[in-house]
Amino acid sequence: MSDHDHDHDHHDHAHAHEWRPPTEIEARVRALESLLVEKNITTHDAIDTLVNAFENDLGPMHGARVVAKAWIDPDYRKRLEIDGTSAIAELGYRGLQTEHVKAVFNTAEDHHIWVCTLCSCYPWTLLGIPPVWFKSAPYRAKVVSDPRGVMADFGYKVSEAVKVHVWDTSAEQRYLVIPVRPANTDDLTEEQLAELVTRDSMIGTTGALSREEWEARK
Amino acid sequence: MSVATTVKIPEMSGSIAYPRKNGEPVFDAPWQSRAFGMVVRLHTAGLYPWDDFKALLIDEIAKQPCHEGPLDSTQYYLQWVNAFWRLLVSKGLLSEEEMKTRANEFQVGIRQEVY
Repeated sequence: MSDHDHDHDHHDHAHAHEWRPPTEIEARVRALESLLVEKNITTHDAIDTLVNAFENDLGPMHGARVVAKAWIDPDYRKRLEIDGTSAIAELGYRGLQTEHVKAVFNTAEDHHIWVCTLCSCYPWTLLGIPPVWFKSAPYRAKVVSDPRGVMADFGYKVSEAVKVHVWDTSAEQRYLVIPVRPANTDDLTEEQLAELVTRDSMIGTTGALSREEWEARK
Repeated sequence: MSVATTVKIPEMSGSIAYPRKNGEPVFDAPWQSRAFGMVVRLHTAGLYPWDDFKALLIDEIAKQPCHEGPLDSTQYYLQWVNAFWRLLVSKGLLSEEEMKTRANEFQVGIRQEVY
């Protein structure tokens, strides 16, 4: 990220978590969930598990298509760097509210990872339903104090020479990590490349699948 | 899809079919998936037979003016939540009043976090 002359480390980044009134239907659904959990009729985790089981891969696939396009099309990559929200909208994916998406690019020198330290802001249209761990207190705390440790928990190791940047999402600002394109993938099509891009690699807890990992999945 | 093979959502077709792509539900916003998850979860936990929910959903959708083509997921899940709301009252799980009070607390911001 040579043209990035300012630092976006977590502590430099003002956190704008202004409360916005939910819509009437959102308020009703939150009311139901909070009452059902409070009365021990069900748990948040039980609902999460169920929803995750039914979730199709459409959400993560949207983000993966953005990444694959950025890998093969330098002009698109440039537009994505300058204005993530517009470049993503080119592919037909628009935010549900007014959220802005900033693409952050992993390179040999920089690794990006994001979190919502205060709640669970998440680029829903791009990545689908947030994984249960994303909302967990241990992830939210540890990613700030020990991002390399979090990556290690995911089985991913980043060299000490690589600078790790932690980004904190807010209601207005979301992030999308563009992982490094794996080696030995020059012959793959854009659709195949998208298959290398996992949800976690777009959050930054891991990298994209290697060619070998991808082939092993097929 | 491990749970999906054990959790069976009974057939929902015609006017009450939920928005799907490749046979799986699609949601346009988090509240829709939470509403979906709650209704299915409580059913699988044995709190009500699926048909009880289905009957209320049919009733809610029938109340709406005629639509050209299928409901979009926002319209669909509005009826879904209405039906769930009525079901919770009829099963004595939650009262109308406590749901209204709690929804108002979220609406005005006295409560902000569900988790």
